[in-house]
Amino acid sequence: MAYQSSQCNVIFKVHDINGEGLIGAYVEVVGLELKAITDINGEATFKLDQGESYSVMISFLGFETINQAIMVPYTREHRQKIRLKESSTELGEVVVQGQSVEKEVLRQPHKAEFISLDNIRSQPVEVVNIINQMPGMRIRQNGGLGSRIDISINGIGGKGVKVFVDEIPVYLLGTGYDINNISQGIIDNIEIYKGTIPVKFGSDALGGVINIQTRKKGVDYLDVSYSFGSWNTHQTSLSANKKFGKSKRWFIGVEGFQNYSDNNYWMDNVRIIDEERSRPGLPITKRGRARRFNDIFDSKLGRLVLGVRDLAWADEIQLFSSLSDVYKEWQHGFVADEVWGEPFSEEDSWSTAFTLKKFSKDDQWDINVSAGYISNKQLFVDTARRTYFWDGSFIPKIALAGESVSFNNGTTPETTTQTYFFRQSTNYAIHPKHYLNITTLLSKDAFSATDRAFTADSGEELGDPQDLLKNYAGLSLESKLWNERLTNIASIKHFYQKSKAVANEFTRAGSLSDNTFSLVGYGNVLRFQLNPNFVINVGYEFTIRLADGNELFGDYITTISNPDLKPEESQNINLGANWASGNNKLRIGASYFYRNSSNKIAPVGVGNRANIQNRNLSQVETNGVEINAQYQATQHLSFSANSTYQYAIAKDLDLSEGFSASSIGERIPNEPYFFSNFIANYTIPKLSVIPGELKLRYSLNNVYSFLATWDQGATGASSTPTQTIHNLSLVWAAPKERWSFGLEGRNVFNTQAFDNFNVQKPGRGFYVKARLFLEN
Amino acid sequence: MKFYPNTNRIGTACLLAVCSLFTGCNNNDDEPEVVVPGEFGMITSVINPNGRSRAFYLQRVSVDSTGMIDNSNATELDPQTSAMIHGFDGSLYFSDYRKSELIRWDIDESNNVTRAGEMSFAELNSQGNAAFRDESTAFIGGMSNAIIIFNPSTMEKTGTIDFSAVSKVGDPTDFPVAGGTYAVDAVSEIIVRDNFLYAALMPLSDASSFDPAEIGCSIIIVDLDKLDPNAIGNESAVVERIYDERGSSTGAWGSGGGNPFMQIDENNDLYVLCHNFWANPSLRSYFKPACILKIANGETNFDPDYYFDLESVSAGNGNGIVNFEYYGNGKFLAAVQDPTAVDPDNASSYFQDPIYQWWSFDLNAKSAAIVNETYTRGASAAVSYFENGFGYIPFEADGKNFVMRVDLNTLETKRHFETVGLPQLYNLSE
Repeated sequence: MAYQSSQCNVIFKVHDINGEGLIGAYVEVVGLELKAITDINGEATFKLDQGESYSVMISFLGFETINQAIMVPYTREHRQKIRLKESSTELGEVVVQGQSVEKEVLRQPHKAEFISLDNIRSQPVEVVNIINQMPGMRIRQNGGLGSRIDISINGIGGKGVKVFVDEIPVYLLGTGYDINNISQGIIDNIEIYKGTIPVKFGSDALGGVINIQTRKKGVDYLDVSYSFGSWNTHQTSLSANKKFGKSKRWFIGVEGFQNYSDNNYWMDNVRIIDEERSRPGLPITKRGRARRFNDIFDSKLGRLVLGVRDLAWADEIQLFSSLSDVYKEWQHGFVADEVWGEPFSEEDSWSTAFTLKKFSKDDQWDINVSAGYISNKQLFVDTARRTYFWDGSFIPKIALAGESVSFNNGTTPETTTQTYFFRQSTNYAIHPKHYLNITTLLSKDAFSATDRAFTADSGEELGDPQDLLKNYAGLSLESKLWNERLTNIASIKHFYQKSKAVANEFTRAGSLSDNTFSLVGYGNVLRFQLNPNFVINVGYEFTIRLADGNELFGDYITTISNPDLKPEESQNINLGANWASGNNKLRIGASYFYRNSSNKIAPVGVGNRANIQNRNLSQVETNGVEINAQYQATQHLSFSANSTYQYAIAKDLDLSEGFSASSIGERIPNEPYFFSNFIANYTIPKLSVIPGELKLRYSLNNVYSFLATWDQGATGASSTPTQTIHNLSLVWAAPKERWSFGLEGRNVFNTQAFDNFNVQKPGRGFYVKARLFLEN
Repeated sequence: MKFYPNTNRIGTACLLAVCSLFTGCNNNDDEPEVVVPGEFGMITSVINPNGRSRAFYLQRVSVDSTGMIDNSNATELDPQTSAMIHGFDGSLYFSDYRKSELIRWDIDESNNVTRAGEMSFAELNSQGNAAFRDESTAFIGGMSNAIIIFNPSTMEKTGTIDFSAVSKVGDPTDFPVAGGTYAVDAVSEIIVRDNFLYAALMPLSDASSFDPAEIGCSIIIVDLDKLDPNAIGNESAVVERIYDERGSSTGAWGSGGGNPFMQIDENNDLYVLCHNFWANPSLRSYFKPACILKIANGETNFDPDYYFDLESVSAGNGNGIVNFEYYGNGKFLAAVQDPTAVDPDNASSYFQDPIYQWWSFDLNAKSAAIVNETYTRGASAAVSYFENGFGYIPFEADGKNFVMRVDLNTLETKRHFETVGLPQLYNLSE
C-alpha cells in the first residue's frame, strides 16, 4: 500500500513523427489542475500517483490535439513518449508546419533562418526565389532557370557560402543538387546560418551555410507535381516513400525531378541585324529587342533511398544512390554583347552514399556517420564556325571554330572529378547542461582531363590526376545555464588541405605543384533570453575557406588552374535581438553584422584573353544591419517584411593585379547594398463552391540602385537601377492538400531586372502547377 | 585629301623645332616667352573588383596640370573588358574586341562628353587596331579574311577588302612545330601611307594560346587607288603579301591601349615594331630579338638594308618592347621589359607585371637611352602626349598612377601629376 500512496515523476516527452522534440507544447492532465508547457527538450513533468490512470491532453499549434490515457507505473520516475501528428488545417504563413524543427533551428545561438516548404510546395515558385526573400540574403542570377547564381549572406558571397543537403556538402552529391537546379518537391525545409556556422556542418564556409533538408522517410507518402510556365518551362517532381517489412522498419524512397526551360525570354537593347542596311558580306546591326535563343536548360535527377530503422545497433541506416544530368546552353559570355549561338555544356554525376544514425537510450549521445563516392564529368562544346547576332542570325566564320574564343577549336577536355568522403558527427552530453559535438569530414578529389583540346605537349600533364585532400575537424561545447536562459556554444575548427595541381603556364599545362595548408578557426556564440518575449544573440567566429577543386584545378572551360591559392579568412561578428508580443502575433528582430574577409578569391582575366584565373585579390570589410518583422493579423492573414543594409568597403587590394590604390577604402561596387522584401499571405479556409482552401500570396522584392564600378564621382556613372519586383500566387488545395493547383505570376509588372550589369533577367512570367500528395 | 596617321607626333616635332628657334631668338629679349598650354583628352581606367573588366573615365586636361587629377570632372564611359582607343579628328574611338564594338566619344571644349555612335564588328571575331584615312574612310581588321571599311563620321560600315587570295588560312606550317596549320590570319594593325594601306598580320596556329603560325612579319599591301570604299570585296585592290623573317609579327589586341605598332616619319618612311611576342617566355626560344623593320618611302616591301635591334641597345637580350610613341626626328619612346624582373612563378608576369621602363630610341642612330628607372606596366600604361618639346608619359605600378613629363631634348623627367586609374593621353586637336 505504501507503494500506492507514492508518487511518480512522469516525464512526458512530446515529439513529432520524426522524433524531434516539440518545444512549447501544451500538456494537461484532464480533471486535475495540472498544466505545463514542454521545455527546450520537449518535456513536461508532473508528479502523479503510482498505479493510477489519467487522461492527458496534448496540443500544439500546427499539430493535431490528442487525448491519451496512461497508467502510472510503480516507479519513482517514468518517461512517457507522446507523438503528435501534424495538422493540415492550421497553415498560416510560410513557416508553419514543422514548428519543432523551426524552433530547434531558431533557438540556437547561431544567427539562423528557417523556411519550411510545406505551405509553399503547391506553388510553382523556385527554391532560389524562396531563399532570396529571407533577410540578409541576396541571390543574384545571371539569367533564367538554371543560370549561374551567386549567393550572398550578409555581404559575403561566391564560394564563401556553402550549400548542404541533409548536412552533406552539395559538391559531394552532384550537380543536380545545386541550388539553382534542385526541385522544391524533394525539400522539407531550408536552414540558413549566417556568419557563424555550427560545427556539425564540417564546413569551411566563410559567410554562411544553407542546409537543405530533404523529406523525411518516417511515413508513407507520394508527392507528384508538374508545373508549366513561361519560356516553355516544365518542372516535374516526384517524391515517394514506402515502409515495408513485417515491422515496417524498412523503407524505400524515390526522389526525382526534371527542370526544363527554353529560357527564351526577351532581351532589350541588344544588337540585332538591321536588314535594311545590311548587305551580303557586310552585316550591320542596330539596337533592338530579341529573344534568347541558345539558353536551354535541362536538368534531371533521380535518387533512390533504401533504409531501415530501429536496429539494435543503429536507429537508422540509409543507402542513397543518385544520378543527375545537366545540359545547359550558353547564350553569351561575360557580358550580354558577347552573344553565342551554339555552345553548350553537359555535366553528368553519379553518387552513392550511406548514412548511419545511432542515439543512445538515455539520450546522452548520438552519432551520425556518412560516407560516399561521387563521379562528376563535365564537357563544354563550342565548335561552330559562325558568328551569331542576338536575333539568331549568323554569318559564317572562315577562321576559328568556336564562338567563345576560350580554347582551341571549341572543344574543351572532358574533365572528370572523383570524390570520396567520410563524415561523422557525434553529440555527447558530458553533463545535463553541457553537450559536446565532434564532427570530422574527410574528402579527396581526383581531377583529370582527357586531352581533347590542348596542344600535344600539354597532353601528358593533363593526363596526370590532380589531387585535393581536405580534412575538417570541429569541436563545440554547448552549455545551457541560468535555467536555460543562456545558451553558449564555443567552437574550434581545424582545416587541413593538401593539393597537387597543374601550374598553368599561360594557357599551357605545366608541371604539378604541391601545396599544403593547416589552419585553425574558432568562435563563440550565445543566446540570452532576457524574458519570455525578448532574446539577444551574440556571436563571433574566425572562419576559413579553403580553395576548392574548381579554383585550384580550373575547369578547362574558362578557368585555368592556380595551385598557389591561399585560403580565404574572415572575422565575423553578429549582434541580434528578437522580440515577440505576448500573444506571439507580432515578432520583430534586428541585427548588426560585421565581416572582415581577407585573401578573397576572385577570377582575374588572364592577359587580354577570354580565360580567367582565380587569385587572392582583396580584403573586404562589411558592416550591416538587417531588420525583420512578422505579424499574424488574423488566423488566416499574415505579413512579413525584412530589410538589409550593408556597407562593404575594400580594406585592401592586391595592387600587383592592377588595382588602383585609390580604390582602397571605397565601397565595393556591383554589389547590392540595400534590399528589402515584403510578403503577405492570406488563406480562405473554406470555400463555398468546392472543398478545400484557397491561399493567396503576394511578395515584393526591392533592390536599391547600386554602382557597377568604383565610385569616382564621375558624370554618367554606371549603375544598376533600382528594381522592384512584384510576384503573386494563388493556390487551391483540397483537404489535407491531397490535390492542389497553383498559379504564380512573377515580375507581374514586367520590370526590367538586372543582377549583373548588362545581363538582363526574365520579365513577366506565369506558371501553373498541379500537385498530388498522398500520405498514409 | 591624304591623311597621315599620327601626324600629331610629326607636328609636335615641327612645333618643337619652331619653339626652339623662337627660344633662341628671344634669348636677349626682355619679353617673356608666351607658350599657351595645350589640352589633351585623358582616359583613366580602374580595374573592377571582379578582376575582369575596367571602368573608363574621359576628361579634358590642361598640359600644365599638376598635383592629383581625379575622375570627378570626368565622364564614365561604358565599362569594357578590353580597350583599344584611337584619337581622330577630335573624337576618341573606343574599340573593345571582346564585345566586338567600336564606340565614338566626342568631347567638347567645355569637357562635355557625348556618345556619338557605335558599330559592331562581330564578323571580325576580335578586331585589331583601326586606322583612319580621312573623315569618311577608316579601316579595321581582325580574325577574318576581310578588312572592314567604315565612315568614322557617320559610324557606318561602307565596304570590305577581301584578302582571301593572299590568305594562308588552312595552309600547313612547320612553325613552331611541324604539322601545324594557319588557323587565322589576324589583321592586328593597319596604317595608311600615300595611296597604300599596310595591314599587318599576326597569323596564329592556335588562337587560344596565341601560338604564332610563322616566325616572321607579314603585311598585306592594298592599293587604295583601286579601292571603292562602298564596295564589298575589293579583291582587285589587294596587291601582295610581304614577309620578313628578321622580326616577329606586329600589332596586338589591347596591348598599348590602341597604341600603333607602325609609324611614319618625316621622310615618309614606314617603320614596323616587331615586338617579339612581348618576350613571352614560352615562345622566346623561337624568335629573334624585338626590332624595327622599315618600308622605305615609295616602296611596298621591307628594306633589306634596314634593321634595328632594339634589345641589344636597351635592356639586353630577351626583353620585350611594346608601344611605339614616335615624337619626331627619328625618335620614339617605347616601354622596355627588364627580363630580370620577370616573376618566374607567374606565367603572365612578362605581360602584366610592372617590369617595364620607358626608353627613348633613335631610328637613325640606332641607339637608345633610358628615360627613367621607374618601372611601369608596359603593355597597359601607354599612349603619350607630346607638346612643346615635352613628352607626357603614363605610368602604373603598385596601384600608383601618374604622368611623367620628359624633356625630349635632355630626357630629364619629372613626375607631373598623379591620376586615379591608369592614364592614357590623346591629342584632341588632330
